[in-house]
Parts: sequence; C-alpha cells; structure tokens
Amino acid sequence: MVISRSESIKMQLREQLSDKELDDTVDLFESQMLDSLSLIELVTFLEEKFAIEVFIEDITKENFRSLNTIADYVNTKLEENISSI
Amino acid sequence: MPMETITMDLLLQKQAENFSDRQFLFFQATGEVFTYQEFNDMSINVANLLLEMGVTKGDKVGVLLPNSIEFLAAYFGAIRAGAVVVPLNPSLKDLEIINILLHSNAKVLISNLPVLNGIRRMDQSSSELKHLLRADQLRDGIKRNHTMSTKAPEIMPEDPALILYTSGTTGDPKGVVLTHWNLISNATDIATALNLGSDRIMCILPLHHTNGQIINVLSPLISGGSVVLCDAYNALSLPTFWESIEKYEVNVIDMVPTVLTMLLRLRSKRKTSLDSLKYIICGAAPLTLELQKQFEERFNCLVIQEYGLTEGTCVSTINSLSNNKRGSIGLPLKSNRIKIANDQGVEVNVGEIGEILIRGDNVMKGYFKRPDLTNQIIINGWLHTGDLGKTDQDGYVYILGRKKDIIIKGGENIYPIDLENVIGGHPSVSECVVVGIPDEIYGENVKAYIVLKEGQVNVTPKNILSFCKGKLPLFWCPAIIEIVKFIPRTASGKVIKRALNP
Repeated sequence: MVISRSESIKMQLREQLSDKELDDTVDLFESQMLDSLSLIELVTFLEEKFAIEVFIEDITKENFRSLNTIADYVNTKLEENISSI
Repeated sequence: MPMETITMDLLLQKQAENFSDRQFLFFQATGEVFTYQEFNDMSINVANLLLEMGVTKGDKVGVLLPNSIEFLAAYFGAIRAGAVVVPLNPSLKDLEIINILLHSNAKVLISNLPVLNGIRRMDQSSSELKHLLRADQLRDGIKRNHTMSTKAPEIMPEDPALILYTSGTTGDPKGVVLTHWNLISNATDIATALNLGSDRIMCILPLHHTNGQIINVLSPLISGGSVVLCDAYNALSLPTFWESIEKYEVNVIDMVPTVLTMLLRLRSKRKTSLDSLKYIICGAAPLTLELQKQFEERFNCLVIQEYGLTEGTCVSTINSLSNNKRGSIGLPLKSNRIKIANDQGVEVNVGEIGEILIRGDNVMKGYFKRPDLTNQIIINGWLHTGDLGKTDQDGYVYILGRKKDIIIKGGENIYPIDLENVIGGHPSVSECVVVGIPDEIYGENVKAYIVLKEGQVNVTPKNILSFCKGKLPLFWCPAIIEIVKFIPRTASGKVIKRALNP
C-alpha cells in the first residue's frame, strides 16, 4: 500500500507524541497534548526528521494546532526546500 | 516601621502608599495593567469576600489556578484575610488535589469550573472543604475600591501565610509551612542582592512554585518594581518570549536551565531588541557552565545562578551583577548562614565536600502536621538541604550533588516515591523503582524499573505508561520504563539504585 507524504508525516507525529490513535483534527493545545516544552521538543523533532528550518515566527497556533495543520506546514517547508535547489 | 514587624497585609498597604499610581502588574494574556494601588485594592476585595464567607485566621485556602490575575488576587487576598494559602499545581490529577485538600484541612478552594466539578465528587465526610469559589467570582469585584473589613484579624510576622506541598501527593503529603516573615525576609534579601529597584521582571514560571511567587512577584513588590505575568502553561509562551521582552521592556527574567536550553534551540528570522534585558536569573536545577556560556554568548545576556529550596522559602545563595562567579551558586543571602558539614553536622574546611546546611529567617516553620519529618530536616536550627557542596576562599558556594532521593526534571522536583506508589498500584506490577537519568534538555528525566507479577507476560512498558498518564501529571511520567526480573536490594531490603543500569 502506498501512503501519501502527509499520512507518513502524521504517522511519525503520532509516534513522537506517543499516541498512535491520535485523530488528525484533535486540537493539540486544547487537549493539552502540547505544553511550552513539548512544543519545542516537537519543533526539534521536525527539524531533525524532515531537515527543515522552523523559525519562531512559524510556531503559531495555526501551524501547530493539529496533526493536519502540522503536516500541511511540513509539506510547505519541504516544497520550499525542493524549489530552492 | 522595623521590617521585622511587617506582615504581608501591611506590606501591600505600605507599598500602595509608597508607589500608588506606579504600574505594578502587566498580564500578558489580556493586556491588563494594575497599579500598586489597584493591586492593593484587589487583595482587599478578595480578603473581604473571604471574611464575609466566614474565613477566619489560620483557615486554609486552596488556590488551584494557572498564572493569572485571579491567582494573585486569591493569593494576596487570602493572606490579607489572615488565611493560609495552599497553592496547588494545576497539572495534578483530581486524586492528588484531593489528597492535598484533605491533608491541609482546606476550608475554601478557589479554582475554575472544570476542576471544581471533579472536586465535588470527593468524599465530603473526611473533608473540611466548605466553599468552592470560582475564579470568575473573584473577577466580579477585582477592580472595585474597598476598605478592609473590620472582621480582618490581627496578623503577626510569625503567623503562617503559606503551605507549599513539595511531595507525597500520592500517599504521604509533605507541606512546607512558611510564615509572613519567611516570605518578606527572603524576598527582601533577593531584591537587595540583585539591586532590583524599579526593574521590570517577566514571570514565565508557574505561580504555584515558590520561585514564581517570591522572586517574580514579592521581590519586585518590595523593591518598587513591576511584573509582566505570563501564562506558564501556554504552549506558545516560549516562541513569543523574545517578542515579549521587547514589547514590555523587560529588565530581568527568572528561569530554569531547561528553558535556557529550549531558547537556544529556537531560531528567529528577525533580530529582537534585547537592550532592556539586564540579566537572567537561573535556578531550581543545576546549571552547567557550558549551557551558561552558550546562552550568554548567543544572546549577549548575563546569566546569574541562584540556589534554594522550598524549605528555605525560595533562595538561599545567589550571584549578583557585580559578583557573578560562574559555576558557583553564589553567596549566602543577607539573612542566611551557610555551613558545609560532615555527617555529624560538623563544619568542614574550605574546599571540602559536605552537606549544605542553611540557617536564617527564610527557614520554614516546619512540615504541616509532620513534626517527625521537621525534626529530621531542621536540627539545632540548621536546615539540612540534602544537597552536597563546597565553598571557596571567597565564600562562594558550589553545588556538587544530592544526598536525598529526588529527581529534578526541568526545575520541577519529582519524588520517586510518588511515582513508585502509583506504578506499584498497577494490577500487573509486583515491584517498581524509579530513578533519575541524565537528560540533555531537562537535566534529568525519569526511568522506572518494573518487576511484573508472575504470569503477566503480555504487559508492556507502553501499557504501564498509559496507566501512568491516567494517574500522574504528564510531566512526571517515566521517559523510559524497563521491565526487569528483579530489583537489586541490600540485606535489609533497601534498593541498591547504583546497581540498576540506567
């Protein structure tokens, strides 16, 4: 079975957040899955795993609200990386 | 008025007279600003509300709130009413909260609605809890101008003002009782050592923690400074950290080493002006020289290390702008004496390692309802910290390790016994030992060794972790769980922790 890049990112995020059942749309802030420290851990994970640069200005509620929004954000960054080569 | 006769209620009144319209409190989340006068009025309003509810001198008032205006209103209001505040960590689970409420004989709990619904389910027969006050009920009267009720009791400096629970939330609660004079004396010494004056301090630490209350709020209140209060539980507080310094022209920030590590990891597209920032205070966990150096070089900002423990109110030793000896935890505060002692309590020579003992106005009154534990830790007036250290020729103190069983993760004290009690309650677990392991980000992290009951072959570390997550604050849950065949013990049954392989 071939899975999309977004699905692959979300699977890795579930692994990182230690919740394999985590729904794509759950609000990670409201559900308290992320606090100030675990958010930075997640940022470090994204940078190392996907070789992207995450700037403070990008760490917003809009980008990090759910697995879906994070996957969208990572996809955008990966596209930027490809287009800059 | 001599400082030794002052109490928290008089302090608030005096500072309102001294600084009246000067801005004291900025709340980042809402943009609200309170002057010294308004802050004093706010505490009077809440004190009157509590007195009207029947709160009398010495009654315990639980405050279970995140960093907020309501927390400070409840805290100072209750203290003004002569009550003893019991701050609770909002990330605790219902059972732990109930344990503390029961042990402290709390008569009132001030919190927000979702938590209160959980508390309502507690067994009323063993509880003295009479009133549940919602945070928004405090809000109603926060900006009304009031004079202090005639029901207000006379308060003495040696009267208890706070009980801070440091451990034992799962079975054996340990509440540190601090008096009005403990708080004022320690906060005054900190302000003096740092030459705080009218400086603006940004509070990013949780207010249920002694560092949040004393260094971040009480010291600037005493020195005529101001506070920018941030929501410590807001996940986005770190990414907006540098922006807030610029916006509020912050001079001082108090943080823990983990936050320094985190900030070093973040990168920004634009340069933020840090011109207003004079220095960063760092404590609650050991700060490595390498981390201090990296942070100072990258952000061109001095890091000043302090040391203390809740039993000593907050701070006992601190460096200063003029005398910042890197690698040391600084000099004793003005009202403190420090002694490095051997196992017999005899002072050792300069440079020799021993236990750090503290004596002074900041030493707690004792553990609530536990004179046995108090007598074990305060001996002949000296507080035995359980930390190992040494001094140099100039009197600077260096911390070198710990004698007592405690894990300091990101500045938060985690007592293995609390976790062992919970994990030991898992139906498949026969034995459990929890230890601290080195961690690049948090300084230390939690590892649990588990022996399963016979026949429990299908239980995995993940099962145990899920169990922990349901019963413990997420931050306390083990980073690693290892299932072992046996726990190494001495002949007397004591666990040989060094024989466990981290």
